[in-house]
Amino acid sequence: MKLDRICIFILACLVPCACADLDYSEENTRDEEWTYEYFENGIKNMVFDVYAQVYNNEFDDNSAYFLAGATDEAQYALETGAINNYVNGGWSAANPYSRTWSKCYTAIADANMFLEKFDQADITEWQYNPDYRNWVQQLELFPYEVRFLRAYFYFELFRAYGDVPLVTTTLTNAQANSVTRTPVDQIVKFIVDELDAVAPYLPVNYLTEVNSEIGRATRVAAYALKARTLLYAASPLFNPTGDKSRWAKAAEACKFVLDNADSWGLKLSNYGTLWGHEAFFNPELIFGLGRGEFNSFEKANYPVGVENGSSGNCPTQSFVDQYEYQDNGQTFGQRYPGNIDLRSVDPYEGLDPRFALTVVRNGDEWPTNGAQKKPVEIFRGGFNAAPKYGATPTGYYLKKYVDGACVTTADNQTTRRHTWILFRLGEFYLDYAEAVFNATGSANDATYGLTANEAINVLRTRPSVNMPEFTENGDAWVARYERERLVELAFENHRFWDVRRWKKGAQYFRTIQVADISANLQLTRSSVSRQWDEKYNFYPIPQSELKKNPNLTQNAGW
Amino acid sequence: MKKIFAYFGYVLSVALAGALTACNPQEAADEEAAALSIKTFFPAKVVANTPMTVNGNGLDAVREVVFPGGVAVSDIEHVGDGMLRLKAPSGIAADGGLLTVRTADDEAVSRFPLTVGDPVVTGYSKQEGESVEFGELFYIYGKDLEFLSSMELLDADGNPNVIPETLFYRKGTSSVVVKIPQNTFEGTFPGKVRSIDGKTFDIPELTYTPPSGDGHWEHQEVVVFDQETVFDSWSSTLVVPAARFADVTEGAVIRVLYKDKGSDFLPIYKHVGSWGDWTEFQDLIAHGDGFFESTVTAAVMDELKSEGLRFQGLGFTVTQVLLIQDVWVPEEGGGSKEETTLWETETVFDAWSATIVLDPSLFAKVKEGEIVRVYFKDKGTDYNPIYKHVDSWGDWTEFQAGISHTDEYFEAPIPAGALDELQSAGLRFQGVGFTVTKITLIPV
Repeated sequence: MKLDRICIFILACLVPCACADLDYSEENTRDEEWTYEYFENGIKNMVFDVYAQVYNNEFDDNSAYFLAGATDEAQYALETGAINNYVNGGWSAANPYSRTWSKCYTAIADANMFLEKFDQADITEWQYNPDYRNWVQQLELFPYEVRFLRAYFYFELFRAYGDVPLVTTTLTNAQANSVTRTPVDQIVKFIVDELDAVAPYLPVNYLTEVNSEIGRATRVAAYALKARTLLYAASPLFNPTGDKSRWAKAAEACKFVLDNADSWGLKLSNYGTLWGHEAFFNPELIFGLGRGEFNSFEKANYPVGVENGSSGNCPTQSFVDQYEYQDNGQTFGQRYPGNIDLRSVDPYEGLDPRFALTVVRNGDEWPTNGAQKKPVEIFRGGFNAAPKYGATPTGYYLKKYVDGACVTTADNQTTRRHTWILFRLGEFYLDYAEAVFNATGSANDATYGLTANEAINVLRTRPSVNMPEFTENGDAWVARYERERLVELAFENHRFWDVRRWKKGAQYFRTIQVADISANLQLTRSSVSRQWDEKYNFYPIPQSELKKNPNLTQNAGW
Repeated sequence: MKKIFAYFGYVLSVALAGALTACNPQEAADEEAAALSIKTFFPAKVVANTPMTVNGNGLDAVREVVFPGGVAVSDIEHVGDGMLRLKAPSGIAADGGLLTVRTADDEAVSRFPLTVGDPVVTGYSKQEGESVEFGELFYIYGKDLEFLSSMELLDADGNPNVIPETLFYRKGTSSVVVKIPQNTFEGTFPGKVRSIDGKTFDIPELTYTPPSGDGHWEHQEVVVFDQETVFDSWSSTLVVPAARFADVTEGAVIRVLYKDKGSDFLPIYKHVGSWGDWTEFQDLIAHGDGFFESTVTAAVMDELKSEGLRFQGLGFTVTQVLLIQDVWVPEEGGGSKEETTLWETETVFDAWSATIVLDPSLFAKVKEGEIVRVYFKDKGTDYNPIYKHVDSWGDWTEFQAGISHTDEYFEAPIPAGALDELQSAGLRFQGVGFTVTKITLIPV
């Protein structure tokens, strides 16, 4: 009987205790309280966590995020290249290839958490530290930087998926697995409102800020992102009714960037200095990702035959065809529509100077470093051509972004800094031109203070380019503008998205032309068919997400 | 034996009862998270009219937000379920308090309090009667200055020129920096600074001038300390004597070149007398490759000139200290008549696509009436040079009206009213039938 009572007593004790949190967590020094009281390794690192998601591995070997290979800009040399999945029919919701969804929502969750807990940030215990004042100054900026970044990730999401869930607060797993997609117009409004809200508080640049940590979010980047967002929102993919007021908003936002560029210290630069070791300090750069010193991108893109070269992203003949000649504005494709006897003519002579800075052609001395410099041989049997495994399938190699000063020999390798461009001033002359043309219906309308042609001519007449001016209008203008945009922004991950937002994938991406140069230097064109479907205008929502969340719907056609 | 089974049964039922009545912590968290709540709001300090966001859960049903002091705001923009946008109302209790969101049948209160700002301007980088030049950075000091929304000066025609916050150079809590526009009225007048809640602060009467005068600007880098000094302990120090800063000007940069940077690298600008951190310098310290530097502000000028500057720190070896500034060098004899070369690259104008653009920085110090002269050769029968606007490519008719030609050059005086555009956008040339050899500026 006594034992009965003991058991009942134990039962009575356990029932009220059942709700106690019995979770055991081992004590460590970096708990939440620690995080918000330590600046460098705590609060600042949380901000870095959000920044870290901006880089998309574009410079990595065989990167599926260097998107040129999924456009008419390039063909990836190896068939096994990850980027080929976008154009060989292997792309599906079950194999979405892109990590855009997960990385953006990871960053957004980090941003939301930071903003929700920022009130806990208290570094006053460090007030006697020599860096305290600097920390306070930086702390003041962090919430604005993080809100900029959150807006940036929503831009990445909406251009890829269209409607996406708008999550502005931290969620539990159950909540996260029940969110619904928000119409794209609301996403655009959110981005623009956020950027308008934070821009005045962000510094114009960080050279006059604590520690000169350039590369962080600036006011200029905020207005640039706003302008590009409005341009996308006005484009046919997102503006099916052709609402001209959207183009007008985009034109105004772009003009604001152009009007203030000088006072913000921005300047158009020499085209060839947009990449390379010092590019991070280029005055044209608005927001870029500075990477450390490495040469893996060079190894991936140097021609086969150059020691450790793997060919990588090879410019297509379709792409080369878009370059104009300096003398009369005729394009390569117009002047040489068929096969070319390279022994009797140099078709590259007199081309837009951006060509030679972007593309390696047969006979160019490449790479430029003294240890490996020699004329490339891109003809059958040549040192850098078929039948070598992995040689260019297009007749060309990539020069833009590839730093020829990197030595990739087995010994004595050298490495250089690289900068991935996210926004640069040159883009906004083009964005403005496109927006103002569509808003006014004319390339010569000066309603916004600068006509579309004048804006483009600013780019084309800069000293390092100096090409014949635009004078066209109407459909001819559109065709020439699309060429100019491709040439100017080549390999900067614009083409992939531009063609989609114009809804012109069938026109540009279904068939590409490549070149084959015979041993006796006959350049022969051939066509390569690629998979294109209108559903490709948007990414598929990853199947794994749809399985977790029954409220998510798939994009049309996927 | 029977009892043993019975006792075993009791124990088992006790364990089962505990397990079955235990809460699922995830479920509890989900329930809590789904309820109406404010997780954060931003900014945490406001004045009337401050744009705010409130983040939390269940906010799509919120009808009003109640501020400390009972002021309710119902003009709310719902951004999905998790966010509200609204403007802070006037009449919030001065000592702040918690924020409340209300739906038709529920309400939630913020975790942390809202505080109320009170923007106050305590000073400016220029005092009454002083001059400030177009393009100069003008500092406003005070507290809660993040609520400043505009500054009002006069434009070139004497009309009010409102500089919105979007064009401020830098906006912070304790200081706001504004670059004086090039199109500011030349003369003496007071200005105003306005905050978002409608407060107005008077800027003292200052004389606004274009950066001009007879002479020219020279970019100087003067070595003010040139003795290798190892900073390997806190006893290491160096003092740059005051005499070295006799000619220092506001905006000058004091750059310290160093080598042997250590992992404990920590340089500090210090007061000479007290050895205290010189916070005005420290606040502006910037680091480059092999150097750190800071900027001379109005607040440090007197002491710098009378006491000099001390450095202390760890983890580097100073090699030189430089004073970098643009110095106005007056011309002797009432002004130079010498030509300044602006462009010296031979450029063929054989088609309408040929153009030259002169950078606006070349015109930073020019004055109305100075001559822009273009030397050329190979004059053709179709000779036709044109001064043009940079951005619009339109003919710059005011220049064209004053153009004159010789067989060696054509030239035109800088017309009235062209300075602002020259200094902000520069000058373009277009034309055919000649080859430019040089472009010069001839002072009057």
